[in-house]
Formats: sequence, C-alpha cells, structure tokens
Amino acid sequence: MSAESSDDPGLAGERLLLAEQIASLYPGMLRFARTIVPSALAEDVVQETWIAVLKVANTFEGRSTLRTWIYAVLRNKARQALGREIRRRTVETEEAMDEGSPLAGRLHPPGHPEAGHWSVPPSARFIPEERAVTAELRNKVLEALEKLPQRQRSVVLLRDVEGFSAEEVCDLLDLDPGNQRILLHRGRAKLRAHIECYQFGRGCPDNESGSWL
Amino acid sequence: MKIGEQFDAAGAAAIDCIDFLPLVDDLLEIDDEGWDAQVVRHLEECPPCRIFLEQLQDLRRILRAQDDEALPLSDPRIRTLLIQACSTREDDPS
Repeated sequence: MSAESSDDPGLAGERLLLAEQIASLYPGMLRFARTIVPSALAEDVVQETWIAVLKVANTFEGRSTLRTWIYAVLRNKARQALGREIRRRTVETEEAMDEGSPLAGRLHPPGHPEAGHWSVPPSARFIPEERAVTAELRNKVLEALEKLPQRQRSVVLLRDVEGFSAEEVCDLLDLDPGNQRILLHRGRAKLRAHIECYQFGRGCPDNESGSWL
Repeated sequence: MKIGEQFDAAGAAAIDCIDFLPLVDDLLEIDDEGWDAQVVRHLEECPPCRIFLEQLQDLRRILRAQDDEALPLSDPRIRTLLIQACSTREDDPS
C-alpha cells in the first residue's frame, strides 16, 4: 500500500483495511451512481459519498450491512446531485411505460392445439457447460444493461451484478416488493432476448433498431 | 413437452409453459432442491423451458462476472479519501 505511511502499525493496518474496502466497493458504486446521475457527475458523487461516510462512520448502527448503508448514502448524494427528489413510481406507471414483452408471439395462442407451449422455443444456452464467460459476451451484456430503462437497470444492476437481496434493493430504491419483482423480471427478460438475438439470431424484434432495448 | 397428462401421481395439476415462465425469477433465487415438484416435472418434460431457465442462469453468471474488478490500492482517488479520513480523525475531539 503506497498511500500514507504510519509509524503506528495498528493505524497502518486500519488504513490498509479502509483502502481495500474503498477499492472493492468503488467500481460498483460508480455503476450504481450512473443509474441515477449522468456519467460525468457519477465520479464526484462517489467521492462525496465516501467523504460523508468517513465523517459519519461512527453513526453506523449495524441495522443493515455496511455496504447497504454506504449505498444508501450514495443514493441520497446522487439524488441531491440530480437536483430533485426522485419520486416513487407505481407499478401502474411502470406498466404504462413498458412496451411489449420479448416473449410475445413465442408461445402458441389460446385456441391453438398446443396452446400454453412454445411455438418458437429458445435455441440453446448462452454459455455451454464448463465454458468461461468470454469478454465479447460480457461486453455485449454490459452494453445492453446500459440501455435498459433507468429503473429496470438499477434493479438488475443491484440484484444481479452487485448481489443485493430483494429486500435491500426495495430499501435502496424505495420500491415495494411487487414493483421490484416486475422491474427485475422485465429487465432480465429484455437482456435475455437481446443476447439470444445477438448470439443465435432468434427472437429478434420486428422493429427498425432490431433491438429489444 | 408432452400434452395430455394433466395431473401427476399426487393429483396436482400439471403446469404448462405459460404457468412456468413467471416462476423463473423465483427459481433463480433458490437451490434446485427446493423447487416445487410440479416445476421439476415440467422441466423434465419440457426442454425449451429448461433452456430458457439455463439462459437466465447464464445471463446472471455473465452479469456477476462484471463484479471482479477492484481499484488498485495505489489509485489516487483512494489516496485522496485516506487523507480525508486522517483529517477527519484529527478533527474529532474524542
């Protein structure tokens, strides 16, 4: 560790632990900040968050994990930076804003002899067993994630990239469990459809962009 | 998926693909040993739904693979914050 040497081994160890904590959380915090503020502001928001956390760390009461607490501070800082309080959205609003399901037309309709079953089934899994995740596929998924609607992106990012629980995500984003579930389902569904179209040319949307995003 | 066998041995109604698809997000959260017998049976009989579930498992694996990069400890942003932490400590009368 090159930052700030100290004659006190206890203090030096403490600083090393703090540096490691910052180093491990920083990239994920930047990703989360970018779901709330423009990318140009995200770096400042994360720095401000850490400064605030370091000032008030002794007020952390352990009622959530330290990471969830830090992310809650980050959320507040990002909202302040945005200059307005993000209002809680209802399930109905999200539903009204959402376009068609990527699975539309892939199952036999009512009345068909095989109603309730696939008409255009998924072709194959994305990563054959025992294969590593390729950089190309990873980048494609990351690009797609960036294009999801903001609330879906936040939920998928926190749940599937950062590994927060459903309850923690509800707290961080002021969502009720039902809305969190819908946003996660829709975000994942679009990402899955996008990658299926990219990898196998199947299930691609019939629109100008050729993308579900 | 075989069609026609509407009930299993215990008398529970069999589920079809439309019933199965909304359950997929929940299945991702629990170990397959905890899955409902109807779900297990459907997956045994329906390769497309099995692949659909595996695609979502793969998607999550790809997304989790993003989270492997920490900043180097020599990053100037960390140094700035450590200096800030030291000054905060010095300002604290306790």
